[in-house]
Amino acid sequence: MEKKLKIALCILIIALITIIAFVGVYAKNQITYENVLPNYVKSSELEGKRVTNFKLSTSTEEIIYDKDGNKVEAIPEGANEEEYKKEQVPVNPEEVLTTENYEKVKKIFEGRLNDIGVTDYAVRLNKTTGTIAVELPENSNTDNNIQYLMATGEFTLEDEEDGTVLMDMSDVESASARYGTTEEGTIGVYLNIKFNKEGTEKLLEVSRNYLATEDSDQNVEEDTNTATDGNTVEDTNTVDNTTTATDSESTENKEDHKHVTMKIEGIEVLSTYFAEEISSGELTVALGTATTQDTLYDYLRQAQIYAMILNNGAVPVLYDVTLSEYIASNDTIVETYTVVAILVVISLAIAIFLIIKFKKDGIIAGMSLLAMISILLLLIRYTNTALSLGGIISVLVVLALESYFIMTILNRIKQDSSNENVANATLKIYLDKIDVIVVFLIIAVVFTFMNSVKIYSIGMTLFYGAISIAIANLVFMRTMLIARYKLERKD
Amino acid sequence: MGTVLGFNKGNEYQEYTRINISMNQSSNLEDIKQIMNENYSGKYDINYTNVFNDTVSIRVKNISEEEINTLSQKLTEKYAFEEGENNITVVEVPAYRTIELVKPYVVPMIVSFLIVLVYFVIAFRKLGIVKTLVEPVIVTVMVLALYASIFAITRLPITEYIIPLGVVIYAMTLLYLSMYLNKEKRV
Repeated sequence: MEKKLKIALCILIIALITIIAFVGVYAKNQITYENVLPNYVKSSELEGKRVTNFKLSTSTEEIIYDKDGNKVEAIPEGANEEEYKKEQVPVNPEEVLTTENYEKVKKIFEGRLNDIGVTDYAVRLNKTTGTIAVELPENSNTDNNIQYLMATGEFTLEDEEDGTVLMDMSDVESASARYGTTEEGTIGVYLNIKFNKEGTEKLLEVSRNYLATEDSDQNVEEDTNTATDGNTVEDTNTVDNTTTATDSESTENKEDHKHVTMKIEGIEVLSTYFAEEISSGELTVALGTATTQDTLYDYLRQAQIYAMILNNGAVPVLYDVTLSEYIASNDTIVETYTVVAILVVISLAIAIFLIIKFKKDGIIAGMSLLAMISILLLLIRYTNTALSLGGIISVLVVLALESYFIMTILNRIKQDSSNENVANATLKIYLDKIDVIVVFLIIAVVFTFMNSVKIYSIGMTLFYGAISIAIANLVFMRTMLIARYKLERKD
Repeated sequence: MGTVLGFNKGNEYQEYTRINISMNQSSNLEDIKQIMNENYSGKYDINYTNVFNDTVSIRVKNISEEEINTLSQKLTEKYAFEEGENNITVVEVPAYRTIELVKPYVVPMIVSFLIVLVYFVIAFRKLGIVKTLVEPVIVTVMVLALYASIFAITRLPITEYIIPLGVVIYAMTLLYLSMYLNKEKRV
């Protein structure tokens, strides 16, 4: 009686899991019933994507020359306009329109998308016309991500007074966003810029030329520990040992020292002078002090965006967005249904084969197979695993492994159906076939740790597949097989 | 084989032209299809791009400048688009390079393959280096080369699921090799 109960209980649980996995759990939400299970997270190839077209910019910019032929930013107030010459120059001169530059822009786009954590994208380039199409998943970040791609990647360290460019993007090696606790106990967010060899020498020179004078050292000391700009606090000790530029808006100090201005994308990030010479080649810029989780996130995001721009360099060619629209993946959806239908047919074929070959044991194995698929589907839902076409297809590998284990277990039981062997067969198989499990897990883990959603979806499906196989075989199949053989002997 | 013959990329990966028509009101797809059929002989995909059904996107391959102009003219006449409103946008979407389709899969496949080979060499060391290293390399490379050759020779289009299917074949090959070596070890 107890054995029958065990079998019945297993069948009930499998039926329940299967119904939940395939149909869902519906609860009343106001007037309609909604499935309370988490939805599948689908990649852009299954869900649809935003396709944004970038075309080479044909716009022009106005260049102003003074009477000596020097470039000036604007005609000074009160100056005789006739002494200045204006010229309309294309933003993309002929000499920059090369395949090499188009490829460079493509790489910059890919680098930026990687840096801001977009894992599901494609950048398509026409090497002849320079046209670029970027495919991104449609979500609340899509518009921002397109904006980041539009950045020119301009970085300058300028003399505040005459605008002379002291350093530019060619001097930057890398940048990173950091945060650390300040002496006041708040969290400071910083942009750390590492310069290349040439940049390090330039930075040393700049820090010498824009060094605080001795009689204003006291002011410098005060400035480095006081909030300026309403949100900036300098704290060199809590972040790292590199020298930090001193942000200062103090009029008093401005009279004492020459200032440099750091601009990213033409926007002033800070105006500063240096408390000491910088020979390390690293500059840490304080972006703000966070007192709440939200402000920390905002400052950190800002620092990450600056780091993303600096890490990938300036674009050699400028682009305009011509069209950005959501494209539903109708073709892919049809293909996905085909693939899912094929998987269902394969699963059914395996189950029928098992039933024909192993009779009653085959029915138990078929139920175990069903339980495995249901558990896998629930794990994918509850762990928010992004599902790509590769992830769906890789269920084939899970099915192959499960079939192999089931066949081996049932063959062993067929040879020796003693109580001891039936109880041990399922457990022993995992020890005997440990090599197969190790290889399966190596593939699953390596693929899981990749950045692209297309890849890690495969890895995670395999990994959860391994867990599902273990649960289905060790819990359901083993219990039912033991109960069945004990029951058979009693009869 | 693929390098010599080249692959036939599926529609999704080929270069195409997208014609975006921004209506000022909800539109009937059938009307636009009729204009398309009258003025363009090739195949095309057409769908709405938003829930208000006021923006239509048409995807076409190999459309000439002249055909685009005729279509624009007919659509402008039909829907009374005003000059300067830019209701019709035509963009070119570049093709994928085959290498770019494969690239994301290369690193995880090579890394996992190397780790698996190291595992084979250690776990099945009694079987000798030929069985644990040389044979798995030859078998895996042959299987993947054969898979790629099928598409290069038959010119079957490379669609979204062809490369993931290649990964599945790769994983199954390694699983088969591990089963085979496991069996050999016990003999």
